[in-house]
Amino acid sequence: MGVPAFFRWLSRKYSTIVVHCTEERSKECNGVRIPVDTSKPNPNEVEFDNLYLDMNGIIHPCTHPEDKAAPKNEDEMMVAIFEYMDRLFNIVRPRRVLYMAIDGVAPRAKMNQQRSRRFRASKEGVELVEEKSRIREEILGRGGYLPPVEIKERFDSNCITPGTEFMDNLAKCLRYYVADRLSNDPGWRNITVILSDASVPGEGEHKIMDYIRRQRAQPHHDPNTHHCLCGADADLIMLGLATHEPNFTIIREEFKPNQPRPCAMCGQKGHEIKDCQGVAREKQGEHDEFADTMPGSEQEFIFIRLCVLREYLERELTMASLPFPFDFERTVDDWVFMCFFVGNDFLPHLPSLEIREGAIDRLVGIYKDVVHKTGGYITENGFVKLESVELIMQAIGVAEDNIFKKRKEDDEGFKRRNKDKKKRMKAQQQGPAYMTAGQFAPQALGGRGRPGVVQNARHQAFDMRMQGRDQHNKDAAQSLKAMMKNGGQAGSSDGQDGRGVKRKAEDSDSEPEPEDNVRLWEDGWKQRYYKTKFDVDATDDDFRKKVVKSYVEGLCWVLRYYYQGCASWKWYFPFHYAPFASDFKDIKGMFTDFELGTKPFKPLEQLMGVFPAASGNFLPQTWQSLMSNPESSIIDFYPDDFAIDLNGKKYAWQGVALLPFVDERRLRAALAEVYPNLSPEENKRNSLGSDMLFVGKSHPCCDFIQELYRGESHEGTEMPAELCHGIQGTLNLDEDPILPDKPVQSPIPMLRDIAQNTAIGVKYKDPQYGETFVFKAVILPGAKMPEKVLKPGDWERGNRGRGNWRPQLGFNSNRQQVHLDQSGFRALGHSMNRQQQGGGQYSNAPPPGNYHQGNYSRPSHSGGGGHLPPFQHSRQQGLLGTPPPYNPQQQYPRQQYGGGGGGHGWDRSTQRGGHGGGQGQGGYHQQRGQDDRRGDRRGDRGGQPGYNSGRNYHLPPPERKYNWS
Amino acid sequence: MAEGRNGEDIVSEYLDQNPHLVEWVESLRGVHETNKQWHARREFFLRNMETFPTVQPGFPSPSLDRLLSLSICWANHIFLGCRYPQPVMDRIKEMAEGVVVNDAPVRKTRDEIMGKGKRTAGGDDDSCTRRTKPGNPFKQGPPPQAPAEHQPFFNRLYKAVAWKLVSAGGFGPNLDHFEILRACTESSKESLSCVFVPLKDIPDLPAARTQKEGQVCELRCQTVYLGTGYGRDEAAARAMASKEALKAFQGRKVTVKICRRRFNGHLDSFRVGMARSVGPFSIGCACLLPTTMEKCTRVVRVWFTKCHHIFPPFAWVYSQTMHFPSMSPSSGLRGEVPRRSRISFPPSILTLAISGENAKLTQDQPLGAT
Repeated sequence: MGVPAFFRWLSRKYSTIVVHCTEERSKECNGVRIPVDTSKPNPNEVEFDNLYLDMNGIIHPCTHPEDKAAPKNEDEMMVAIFEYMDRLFNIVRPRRVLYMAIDGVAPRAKMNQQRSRRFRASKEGVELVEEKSRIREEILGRGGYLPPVEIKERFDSNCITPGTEFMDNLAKCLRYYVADRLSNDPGWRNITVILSDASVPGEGEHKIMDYIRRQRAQPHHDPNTHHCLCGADADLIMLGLATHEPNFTIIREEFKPNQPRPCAMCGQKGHEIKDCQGVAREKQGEHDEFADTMPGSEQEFIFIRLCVLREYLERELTMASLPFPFDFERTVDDWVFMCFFVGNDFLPHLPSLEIREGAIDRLVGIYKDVVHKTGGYITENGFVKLESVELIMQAIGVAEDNIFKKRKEDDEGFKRRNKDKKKRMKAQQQGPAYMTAGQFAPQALGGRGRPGVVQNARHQAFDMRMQGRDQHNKDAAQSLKAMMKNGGQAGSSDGQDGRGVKRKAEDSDSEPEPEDNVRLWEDGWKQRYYKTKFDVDATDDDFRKKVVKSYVEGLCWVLRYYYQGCASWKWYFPFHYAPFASDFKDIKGMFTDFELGTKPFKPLEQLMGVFPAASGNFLPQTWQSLMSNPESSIIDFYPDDFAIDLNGKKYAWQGVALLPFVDERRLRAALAEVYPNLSPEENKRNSLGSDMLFVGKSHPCCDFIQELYRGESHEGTEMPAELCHGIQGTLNLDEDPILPDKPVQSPIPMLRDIAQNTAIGVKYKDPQYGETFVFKAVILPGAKMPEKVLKPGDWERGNRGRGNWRPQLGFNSNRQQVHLDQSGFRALGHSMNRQQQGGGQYSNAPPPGNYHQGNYSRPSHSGGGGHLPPFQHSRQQGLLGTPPPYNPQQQYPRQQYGGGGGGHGWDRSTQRGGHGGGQGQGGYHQQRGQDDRRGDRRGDRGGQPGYNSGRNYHLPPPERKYNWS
Repeated sequence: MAEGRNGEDIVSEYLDQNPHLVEWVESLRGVHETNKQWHARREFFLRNMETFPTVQPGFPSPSLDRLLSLSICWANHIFLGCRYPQPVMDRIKEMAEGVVVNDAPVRKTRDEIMGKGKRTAGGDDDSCTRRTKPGNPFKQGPPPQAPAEHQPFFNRLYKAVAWKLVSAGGFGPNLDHFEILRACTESSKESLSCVFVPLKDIPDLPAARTQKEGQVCELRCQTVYLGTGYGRDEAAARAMASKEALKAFQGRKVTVKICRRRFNGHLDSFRVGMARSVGPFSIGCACLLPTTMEKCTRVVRVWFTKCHHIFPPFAWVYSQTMHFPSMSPSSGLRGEVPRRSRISFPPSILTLAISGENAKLTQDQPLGAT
């Protein structure tokens, strides 16, 4: 789903959904790193139960990062992945479940997209290497300086696909990682870890959703579980909303547009590979003290609070005077559905709907009309009512003409502005500051044309001086403007934005505009669209109907996929483009149901389906030859080169790759002949695997599982709900299990074996339901809705006292604000007055120097207040309203941590705020012994009728969870 | 375009005659294929079906899948703009001879967008297989080796003809065209081959054409097709054919090109040899299989049949057992024309033909009309 666009739109419109993460950094003492104790309360002032990791969002940046040098070998990649997960774990600190899901074999519907990504990636990889060597020679020939090439294997990112050796290895490494952390990390000791590796079919995020859905549908599920899902895909937001869990948070890396990337050639930032000059690095800071860390370069994380988004949506979607009672949950589902029109991974988006053009707002307006008209919602539990869809589509269709015309106008305006901007920026010098310009510019030896005699040197020097000065003024003025417009953080990242856009604008002038044969803004656009995109005449109604029918099926499939799981592993959208909204006529009968009982591909089969021939090395020889041999019966799947339709975009990677579709029957038939050639090892990689569940020794489940292994029972065993926070599922014995007191070998040479392993692992299967079972998209009984965050609508109108509302930045409405004391103000005033004339004491102007554009990395939040952060940092924090350094002793004197006693060396304290009106001003804490935990939990969760009824088992131990209020 | 429709007509005629295949062939259509794409691919598929003898209509088989795969490769190349490894491209190019697609979309491949300049040879044969230009659907690409082998000889022949014509006072209607051509070929140490076919042996002439007298002659040299002519007797036909051939030598040079004659029609009864124009030049009717010319011992029967929608007004049908008893350079060849019998020939036959700038389409002068 147009990843950045949707999220950017959402976070701009509903800004309060974003909460910046507070991250406690590990300290170093005498060269020894002291790990963070994640069993301590979460510094974000909220406690999460479950953390779900969509691992592919982690694997990709760790294996081929865009903002730093790539790891040298596979082992380093694994370590990078471990570190990344540690970091996330430290931020989120789940107390019950950690669910790690790697993408397995995806439904056929996804294959088009996967193919297109992999075919491109393979070409891009080769091109980069070629370009590198070409430019390298050029630069060296000119006498430039380049760091020597490190000899390393080119990492083909295509190996991050289920079925490859890499993925197999990754699964092994993750098992080791889990065992290690469960054995050694106090924060992990009581959590249940579920690892769903690439051998389990399904996309990562959807495996997670399936897990949540299936847990929700069984009676032991705790309706107040606080979920936290990690991943950057915008559709995670949809998925989160689709669960109807009241406490759902998404964590992702903060998206900063146009981050400077290091040049792939010389490793310096500030230019792209094609502009690489091969000049020596410019000093960063006066003494090159910023050499390694570009300020703000480390990615920070943000939370996206779906409960706040729900509040926003409730406001926006609420309809008065409906002929039936308004049900917010149903409208959320409808909203999710409409977002699919704008883009998703399985269907091309409708040409008239662009997020940037406010498509979703338009849809919401139309939607309200339609609901009034038809007297019902458009979806239910993931099933679509096509009559209503038709009404919506027709309403969009009416506006299509104008949308296209307006798009053209906007486009031209944008181009004009860019051009102006470029003109303004042209004066700016390129390259490092020490490079002289004009007739003093360095020239290559032996180049053509010897440099002439310097003329009028004084004047030139004067010019250079003046230019430098003007530039500084301009810089300052611009950043000031940006600050004033957006304030604080946004301002600084906008500054980045400005730089990025500038670069792009230059590109745009040097490259010609792609020709556009469709010209959607001119009459006859529909004919032209069908002619150029589909190569049919507009009169070919049958064909157009076929496309619409497929699209309608697609909409049904996608919604079902989000709400009920994969309805058909076979279905896919067999075209490269979408029809127009106005073509959706008489769609009611177009879809009935999907074929039942379809099966996913096997991993190696899917590899054959998504890989280009150039990535064939991940496959056995005879399989590979199917991809290149002219006699192969599936040779048509593997073009060397393919057309890209820029489709109005500028860069090849934005365009539509016109790749042929895969014929499943022929693929299977061709593979049937080479199946005997698989080695046993490959056969194993090709088989479908199972989720794994791991717990540590102190987890109540551990003994139970150990009993299973002792009993050698070979049937699946239901998980006892009381042992594991109401989690259900079937356990099966693993063939090569991780068992307590059985050492675990490290698959990575640089990490040691776990001699004293205390973790245990077992195969795990989600609770099963009948094929026709319908998961209900409702709030579960007993769920407590989180407190409102948004300003009540009538608050401005004199009702200030009543609502007792205060703006809230983090999760906790009562969090302490940081204050500068007098000395702080003195220091601030001193510094500001000296360097920034006329700014006033609290001026928002950026600090002097070169570094005003990045975000400062936060100081390490040392619990004991070990060292004072540098001045700039604390000032930045104060101004930007970032959370205070977490310091339990000082900031939160209300809390204590009691030792758990016995083997449980971690803290277990529960802090409760007064429920109800008091808003927790007088929060108190209770520290409990282990014995009365269960009763306490019951009280904590007070008033959960559905949850406790009829259960006579002991409630699980409270996870080490702190309630902030 | 007339030719474009022709291909479709042939296919529909073929399917009319083989109704049992219709359903099966239709089942091979992809869901995403437009009519245009499917019709082109279907033609490609049917034309090449016999080269995959193990393909059994109605039954899945690996060879069927291979043929399907190649047909899809070709369709992807034409309609989606995909490029495949060179062996595959050569193969589909060869198989696609004669399938005409008008107005195929023009696409830019990724490499082209990324500005990769390696489009030399590849670019040419691209335009060959993908007849994308509506105005010039017959553009042929550089042939493999055969034309290259013949080209030096024809360069020599061209020079000889040019000098001969100069000494004869230039090209004109009153020359003995055959004599000039014969003298030139012989001075170039080669010989001319003529094949004569009586017009009356054409069983199904169009009803309007009452004239049943006369002969048709086809001229070849080094198995390269030169021209076809019609006349009251053999000499007149030969003179006409020579005149046609000499017209090809009027340009700045002659090029030997390779093209295919296609055989359509029933699988089980007879085949139609269809002539295709090469560039601005038309092969006219194919009287002989080049292979027989080369070996001279093979036996071939020749007659006309009604095929005016393919190549008005005639095309040739080949069958077995026409014997060429002798092949002396001076006398030329003469074929006797027995009955038609049933035989399958390979669906396409390699034919070499010369083409000159000034050559006119023989199509403009229907054989029976002169």
